[in-house]
Amino acid sequence: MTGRIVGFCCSYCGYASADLAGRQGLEYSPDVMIVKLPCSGRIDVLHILRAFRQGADAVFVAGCLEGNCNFANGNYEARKRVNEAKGILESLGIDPRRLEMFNVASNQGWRFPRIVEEMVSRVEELGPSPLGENG
Amino acid sequence: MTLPTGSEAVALSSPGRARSRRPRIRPEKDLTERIGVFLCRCGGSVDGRLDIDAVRERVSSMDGVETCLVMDYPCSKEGREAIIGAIGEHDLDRFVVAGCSPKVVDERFMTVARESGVNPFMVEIANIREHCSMIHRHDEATSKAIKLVKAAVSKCSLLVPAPYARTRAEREEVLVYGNGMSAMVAVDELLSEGGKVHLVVPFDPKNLVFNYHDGITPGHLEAMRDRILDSDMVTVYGPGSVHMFQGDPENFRALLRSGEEWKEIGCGAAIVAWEAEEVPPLSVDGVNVITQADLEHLLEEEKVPRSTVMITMFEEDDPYPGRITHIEALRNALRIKVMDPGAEVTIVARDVLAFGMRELDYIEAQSKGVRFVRTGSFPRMIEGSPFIVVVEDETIGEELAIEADLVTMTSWDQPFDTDHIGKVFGAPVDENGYFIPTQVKLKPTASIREGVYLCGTGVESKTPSEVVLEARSAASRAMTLVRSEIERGGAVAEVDPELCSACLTCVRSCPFSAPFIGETGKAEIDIGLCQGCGICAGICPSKAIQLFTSTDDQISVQTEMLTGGRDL
Amino acid sequence: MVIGAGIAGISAALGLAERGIFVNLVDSDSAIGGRSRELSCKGLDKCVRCDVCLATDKLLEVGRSEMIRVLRNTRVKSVSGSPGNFRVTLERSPSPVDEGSCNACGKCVEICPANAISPPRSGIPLTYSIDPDACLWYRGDDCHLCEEACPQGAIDLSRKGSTKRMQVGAIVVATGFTPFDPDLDPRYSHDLIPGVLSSLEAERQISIDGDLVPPEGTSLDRLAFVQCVGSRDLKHGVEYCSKVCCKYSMGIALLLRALHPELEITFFYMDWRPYDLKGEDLREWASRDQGVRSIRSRPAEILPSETGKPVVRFTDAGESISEEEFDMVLLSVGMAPPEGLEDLAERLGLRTTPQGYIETSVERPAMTSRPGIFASGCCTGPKDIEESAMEGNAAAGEAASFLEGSP
Repeated sequence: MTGRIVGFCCSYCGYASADLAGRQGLEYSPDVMIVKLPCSGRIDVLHILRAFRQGADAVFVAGCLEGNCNFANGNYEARKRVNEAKGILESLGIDPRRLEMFNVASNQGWRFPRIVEEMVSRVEELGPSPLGENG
Repeated sequence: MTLPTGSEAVALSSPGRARSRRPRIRPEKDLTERIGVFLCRCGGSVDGRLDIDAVRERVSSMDGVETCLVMDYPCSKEGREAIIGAIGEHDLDRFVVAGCSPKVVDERFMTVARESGVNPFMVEIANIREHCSMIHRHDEATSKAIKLVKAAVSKCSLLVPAPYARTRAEREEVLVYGNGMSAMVAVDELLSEGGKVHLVVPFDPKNLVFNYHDGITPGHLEAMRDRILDSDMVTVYGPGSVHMFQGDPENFRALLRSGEEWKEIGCGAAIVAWEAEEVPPLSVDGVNVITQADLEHLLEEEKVPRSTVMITMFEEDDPYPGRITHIEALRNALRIKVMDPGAEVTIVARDVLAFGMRELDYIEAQSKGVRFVRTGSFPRMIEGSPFIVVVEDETIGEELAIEADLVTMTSWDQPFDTDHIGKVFGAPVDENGYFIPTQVKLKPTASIREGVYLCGTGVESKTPSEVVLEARSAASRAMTLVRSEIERGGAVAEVDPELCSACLTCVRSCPFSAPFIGETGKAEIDIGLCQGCGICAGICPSKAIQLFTSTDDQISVQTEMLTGGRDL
Repeated sequence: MVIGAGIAGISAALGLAERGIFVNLVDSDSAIGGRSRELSCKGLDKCVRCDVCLATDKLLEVGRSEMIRVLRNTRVKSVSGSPGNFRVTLERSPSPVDEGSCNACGKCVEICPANAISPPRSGIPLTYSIDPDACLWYRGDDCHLCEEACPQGAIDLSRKGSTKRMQVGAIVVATGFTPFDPDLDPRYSHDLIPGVLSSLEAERQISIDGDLVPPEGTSLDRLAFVQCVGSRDLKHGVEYCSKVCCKYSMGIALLLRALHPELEITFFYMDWRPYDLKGEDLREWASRDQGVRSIRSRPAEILPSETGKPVVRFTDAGESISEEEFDMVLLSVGMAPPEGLEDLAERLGLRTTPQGYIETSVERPAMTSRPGIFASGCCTGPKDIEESAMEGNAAAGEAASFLEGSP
């Protein structure tokens, strides 16, 4: 096990992409666990920071492709929240690369494992979160 | 203001604004905080790829879990009956199903909830199949499944009953606001589906003319117009306009102005059926240089030009002249050749946009001797008698000088007045004045405002036969809306007035105009418009807004279960 | 009854279901979703509105509806009766793979000597399918390897079909289209050269792998698109334009460019007809991007080079003949009426157009020559996903008012 990675996935595209990857049997690291949000725009900086505090080594938010959000601009809002959170992480001494926002389409099953791979390799590179377990 | 009838659970009130109030929920059980967990074997795609009994063991020991059963297919008839039985037996007020994706099975279990007196928004579904058993090795899948189900259980324990209602349309009438062909066709479709219509036209509708036919029988549209204006099922306001449009899908109110009078009407849906207008280019002098529509009129009067050059490009740099240009040109060209086979017709184009079956017109035109000159640059015209059109022929790489009695140019399509209409109906308009259909889900003809449908060339340039398809499709959707039940509420947002600082951030960020400042001076959510995205909840600086099935605590308890500790 | 569960059929079924009309949705395939399942998203971070995901997303709504009964692996055998009271006989040939028992272990795929079993793709539900043209058992050999290998016992090659009769008030035909088979035009060497693919094959690959994979041992540096393969082609009996190919090819080209900034792309076209007229013009793109070329020419043939790569032979504007080698060539194949449409139309008593599509009225889209029977989607003529959905909605409206006895 490399680390604990939390993926906030919007219930339309992010979640569906993971569903499709599963149905196509595309394997990826079990370190990733998905939390379903109605829209990536639901994400609050609070959720991301709490996840790190609870022991996550990396966090990502997966929303729809720009222009295809089921709720028009949810994914744009999500990106803003993610950028805000990156800034806060940096000021706390946590490498902001541990957090990322991705745009993915519901029928891109191949993409979900790549997102996971990306986050796993970042954790491998950066090591476990400086907050430690339940820091 | 009378309360809407037919509403089962939610007390909706006030002029079209549904407040998020605690509803009179129909016979739902009292909250007992007892959770049931149902694990799906999924025919071997879960069971067999992970140790489902281990999951059951670990989950049953959680606080609040009264029963944890492994089942073959909870989604099957037998499975659902077993769940209903378990709910009764253990007095459960909420449950978790762990199996395949909630995107496939959520409705099924919400129905099970309704049938057993459980609020359907107190059901949580964990995906231990596509996100787990199908892609991880046995042990890893098992330990991940345990975490996923525990996270679902923890979230479930924090769920509260959400208010919701299934309603039918208050009003079956459909409001059609239009200025041309699409409005007529939309109304015709509504009438053929047994609907009632309020038709608003910005001018006297008897003056509605239809310029170009494209395969539609001449006279058909005029007859349709007359039939509509005569019909008992249509109330016509024209010249008229719509000044205000408010409310929720199936229950809108609109303020109309008709002549000198103001009138308030109710409707279940609205269709904005707007045509762009033809703007002839400046070089059209009406004598030697005319538009294709003018040419069609000439031909109807049996005046056939001896030699015609049709220019199907714009002088400006825009490469695409619109979908209708070549179709008009080909039809007029064919007509000329039929009326006078000796007449000369040359069509100057960058590409001949004869889409689909129109290609057959192109082939026929060529066989009848219509000449096609392909060029990359706009031709020069030398005035005189006859006119001379100088064009650089791309295929032979030389300039041609063509004599012409008549030159036709392509008109621009420009929608007018759409900004104002867009604001009234909540349907956004792009920088060129075209209505923007929603990008969300495959809902052709829908605007982002639920219950408002768009059609006509004011949405996008299209041929008359395409206008017909679009208008009938829009009308169909509008009728479906007024004839169906829609569920409102459920996973919607709610503002805590004590925390709200009335900063208006939610009002500004909601794409659906659901938040508004209520009489108390605090923000409220119109649950008739709320789509449950949670953008407002994510952005509220005072943390005053929560979503019923996605509160901050519900989210954080999941991340806690998923990350906390290495030995769950 | 809705015959065909592609985007048009699904849109029609959902429109009817929303109005409280019960729908029997029939499809000959083992999963619903039609051709969109085989297409790929053309966006990377920004949506380009190719509508493919929207089509597949709609499938979920079908599964959730209580007013739609889905009958997969089912064909219409015969129809009798009259409008309002049709009696339909259906032929059901269930897949040899029982979804209920299948646990997607993939052992059958591994063991099949004929490569006849394909793993689940998109669509609902996901099933392994056995290609009867490739499978040895179907061809008469006594091969039962997959049955024996399956630990769940989910495969039964001799699973019997059955007939089913139903009575329905109205029928919507939405059987889609057949893509032009590029093998029918041997000039383009589709079956000969590994680097020559049809646009649909390319889309399928991209939807699975996220990229176009060149043949083994080569790298994708030079790509060509040949438009109008099987369209505007009198020799192959297809005179009309398939309407959507320019739009889709542009989408694929833009996606591949975004994935491979150094990729050289060349378009061979007759007329550039991007149906939605949005976005950048091909010629403008070519003029500002050195790696992109647009050549107005219909290639005479594609031949293999010494290394087996495709060489395109074409006439340039100056009438001189040129030959150029590429790593891959994508043939933008056109649309043809769906298999069996002539037969189905005859059984249903519907008029067809000279091109073989179901004839519908311009003034009343989706209405056919016979009352009570409607048609939508590509079986009435080539169209894109959005228009198919629109026609499906129109068919729902027409069918509903027919059934409701409205004026």
